[in-house]
Amino acid sequence: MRPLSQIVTVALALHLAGCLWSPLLSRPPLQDETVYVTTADEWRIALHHYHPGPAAPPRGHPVILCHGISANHRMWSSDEEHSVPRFLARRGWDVWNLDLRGVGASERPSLWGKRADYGFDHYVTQDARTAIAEVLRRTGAPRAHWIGHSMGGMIIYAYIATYGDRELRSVTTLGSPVVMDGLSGIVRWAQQFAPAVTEYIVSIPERPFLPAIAPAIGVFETSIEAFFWNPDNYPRPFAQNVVYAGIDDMAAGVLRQLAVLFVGGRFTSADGQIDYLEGLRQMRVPLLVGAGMGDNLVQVSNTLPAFEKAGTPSKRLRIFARANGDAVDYGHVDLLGGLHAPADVYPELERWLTRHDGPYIPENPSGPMTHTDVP
Amino acid sequence: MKRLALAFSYLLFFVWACAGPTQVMRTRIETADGAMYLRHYRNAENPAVVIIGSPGISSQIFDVPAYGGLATFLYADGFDVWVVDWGNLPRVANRKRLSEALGAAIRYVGEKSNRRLCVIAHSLGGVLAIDVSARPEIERYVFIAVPGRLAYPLDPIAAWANQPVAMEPRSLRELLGTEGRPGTRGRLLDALLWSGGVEPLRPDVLETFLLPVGPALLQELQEAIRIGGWGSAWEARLAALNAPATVLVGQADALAPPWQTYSLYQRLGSVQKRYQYFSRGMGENREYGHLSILVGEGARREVYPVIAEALQ
Repeated sequence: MRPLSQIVTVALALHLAGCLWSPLLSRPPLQDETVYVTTADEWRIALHHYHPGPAAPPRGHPVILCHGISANHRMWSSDEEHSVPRFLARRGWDVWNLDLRGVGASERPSLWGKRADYGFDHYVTQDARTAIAEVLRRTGAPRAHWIGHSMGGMIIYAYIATYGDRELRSVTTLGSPVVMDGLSGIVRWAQQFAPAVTEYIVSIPERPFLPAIAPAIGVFETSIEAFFWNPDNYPRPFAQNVVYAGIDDMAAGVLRQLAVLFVGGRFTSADGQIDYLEGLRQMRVPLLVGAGMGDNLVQVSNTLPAFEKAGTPSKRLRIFARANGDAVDYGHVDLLGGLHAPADVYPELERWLTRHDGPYIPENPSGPMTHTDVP
Repeated sequence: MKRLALAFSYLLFFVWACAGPTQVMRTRIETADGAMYLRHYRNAENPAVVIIGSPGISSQIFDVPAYGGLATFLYADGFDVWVVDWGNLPRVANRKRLSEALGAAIRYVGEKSNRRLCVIAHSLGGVLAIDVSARPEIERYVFIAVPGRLAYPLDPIAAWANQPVAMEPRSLRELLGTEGRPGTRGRLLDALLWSGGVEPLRPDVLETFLLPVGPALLQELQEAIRIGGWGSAWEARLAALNAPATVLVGQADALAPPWQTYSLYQRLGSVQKRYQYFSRGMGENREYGHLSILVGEGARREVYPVIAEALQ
């Protein structure tokens, strides 16, 4: 019992320390409003709404943002100026920033409430499906753009393989893998470790302790930080903010499903019935695949199979690298809120959205997707 | 005073030369297109290593400790080291001729050393090493920044692949010198060859390393980039290669980026193979690019030990 009491003591001390520092690190919310919607399996998820700038030209379709694993909606913004949703909203886009279940402002599992007995597939069949339907209902638009980071991109790939792309106008993924090979020993270790540990726990809590750790981020440049972002592109205030606010709890079931999937080398549903990667062949809406040259967590090679499999005739691969004219070789997290992201990444996103914002007309009218939506 | 200064500089040079390997022999190998050379750091009875650099990059980078000096490092570590110096061949020969010359050189080394060889190959040197991989002398490979398939090249490389080739030999510096936006030439070369790490790019050093390559080879390189690979025969040799192999790359390598090098690793037929990339996120002190993975103090401290270990 002694080691357990020591662990509990340390955890409590970290949590209390975090509570003390929180007022120094907290930032006001960037969104204009937050709306809630309940999924079919009774989880309440949050959509943070950024109203389109009044002076900007009106756009044809709303934009849905989806964060990755162990993150929440705050991952998209380092501050007011380095914020994907705020950047797009200023330029007239109606942006909806999703919090998946269990993180951010969405309903969280608890000891006396719901348990975190969900997996990756629930994000696809419940959260994404509900969010898309809700955004289309509220905006009256026939389709929506989807921008996903990391697992947020994997979710939309799986969604398309499961339901098709009839509610989507375009898809953008940033640092989203569909295979996980050629990686560091750290990730290989996690792949081996995760299935065993997640048999015994339901949630990996991070939020109670991150406020305590956040002030220490950036004090010493470590390889851990360089693993997740390019330190040249992510100054200390940004890093502290993302650790404090943007990283969130992780459901063990999600980690287990992803670890099992990738160890086995196939990106499929939990029951193996749907091959999410092969399902991209049916995709017809435009696809932009973005990746950071300096991304240690998700290597560029891990994102390429999705680009290659996607059946859409309109697709583009964009690698954010110094050799391509960008300021830095982008890492995993700084693709979203990095110092140079407003100059390198955000305009690329906006150009893609603008180019594919008119009424959807399938490029292969004889193909299976024949919807033509004219507002 | 002048004579004194001159004498002193000669003395310094003598001391520096003495500090180097005590036995460095240079062998000339005649080919159909001219001569190439082998520099031999002799360590009799020790494992033999052949270092094959890219035809467009001076083999000096393997000799001079001030630039890193992989050959001198391995020699000090007890290896019997042979360095391939392409001479003037890249100015006139195409890939097939270079491969044949390399095959002759490896055969020579095998006969002279009378034991099996380890091959360390960098960049295009690795592509040529696979062209001759059927040679029985070779028992182990270390591939450094060697692209397998050439899918998704970065923008400057893709753009160059569709340009007409000059009829005169051109170095990479000259090929890229007129590219890009005004004022960005240095930055582009830095991004393509060096890295964004701590050691700054020195243009004078870079220009020393980059050698002219003739139109025959340049056209073949452009064709390879356009079709995305080195040909089906090369792929077959890669799949048939069964000697143990280690594949290394810098995360910031924009000339042979990690996804291209990883495709080499995936297609290697070797059962015993290992892939490793170098970056700050992996614990290294700096980022490594196409050239800086072999040159500089950082490479000497962080990359060379990995290479030496792979040869064991």
